[in-house]
Amino acid sequence: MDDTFSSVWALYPDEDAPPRSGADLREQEALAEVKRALDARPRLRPSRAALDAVFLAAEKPRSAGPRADRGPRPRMRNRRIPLYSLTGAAFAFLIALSIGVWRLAPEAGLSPAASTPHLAAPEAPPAAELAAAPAPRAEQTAPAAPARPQPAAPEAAARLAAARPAEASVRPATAEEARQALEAGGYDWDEADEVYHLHRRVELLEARSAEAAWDEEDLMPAPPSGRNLPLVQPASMRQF
Amino acid sequence: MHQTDEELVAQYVERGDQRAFRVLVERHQERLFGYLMGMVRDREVANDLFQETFFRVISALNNQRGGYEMQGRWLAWTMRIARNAALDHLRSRKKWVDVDGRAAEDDASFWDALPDDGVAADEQIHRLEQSELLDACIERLPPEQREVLLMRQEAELTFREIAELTDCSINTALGRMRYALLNLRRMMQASPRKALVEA
Repeated sequence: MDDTFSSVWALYPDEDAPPRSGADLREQEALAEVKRALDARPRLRPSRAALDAVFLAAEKPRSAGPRADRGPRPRMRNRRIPLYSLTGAAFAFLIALSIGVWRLAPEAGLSPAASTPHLAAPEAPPAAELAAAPAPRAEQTAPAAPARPQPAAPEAAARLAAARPAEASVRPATAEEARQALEAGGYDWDEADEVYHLHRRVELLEARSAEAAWDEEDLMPAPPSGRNLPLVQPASMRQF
Repeated sequence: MHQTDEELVAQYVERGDQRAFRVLVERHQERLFGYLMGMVRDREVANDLFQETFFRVISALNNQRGGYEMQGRWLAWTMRIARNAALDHLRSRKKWVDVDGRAAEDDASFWDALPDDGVAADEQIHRLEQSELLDACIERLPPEQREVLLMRQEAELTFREIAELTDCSINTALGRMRYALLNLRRMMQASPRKALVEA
């Protein structure tokens, strides 16, 4: 140890103090005077309130005093990302599902026959034209095939079944059978043979009404954009 | 039977012995409070820092905050906590210089500093004046010298502990102590009340 501090070691000895060596006696005496003054100072104590607060905190270490530092929270980012992804995916799926249901619902709500109008009358003219056209031999022809048959009416089913004399050998459908079919659970309009028979019926009607064909040359020129054209009379019935 | 600091700490930590903790606090209260008082020169603040120090000590002993390892140096460990609390306060006071409790401290310290050992009144006044003179001189010391002086004189830490606490060598701590004593002597000799010191 440095002899410079021997006077300090002499005044404040502790376990690390070196063996006494040649100290500056004058300095040691001067410092000793200061130390005596310091030792003479009254010892200060904390207030009773401060001590009581400390003892109270020691009795309830977990409730008194400053709150301890909170431990680190686990990171939530890794948990949030899948949550948001799942939520978004579920939301998108619900939207897609609702759009699909919305688009399919009208078709599902229609009657079976309404969903297959092209099968019911593949080559038939528009029903409105047929119905409104004053056919000259309308009494000879069978009623025009309906573009949108009404399956709910038992009379219509019976009429349809009765109007099948030619196809009776193919499929013996009578009014009684049609009624029974309706009572059993409705008429199956989507059956291929029914459509086939109907198609044959339409062809037969067309063949019978060939002589009542329209005179195309005498037709009035149609306006270029008019779709709702006025009905045109056949040439044989015109009165010029 | 005298129990060491470590034995008292162990009794408090392991068995929750409040009596052991009280003994520990009362044994070192003057050292800690004297150091804190010398650092902040304000009795109210020193009391607050004393509480804060022991709140932190209690939290650490109960493993709520930091930790304490039994190494036979409980006072040095507690003094480090007190020093940190004092330095925190001094740093915050630099930011808020308009807060000064000097007047209140002077009023309170007069009666609180009187020892109740029955000495004569004139002797008490003499000691008080000398103490006030010394306090004023200590306050004028450079911060490094003042801190070493308080740790050695008030807290009675060894120079090795002071060196570790202040992050310097033992020789540096010894040098600061020597200069602190020499500077105190010069200031006291230069004071108009020098005769009181020499009496």
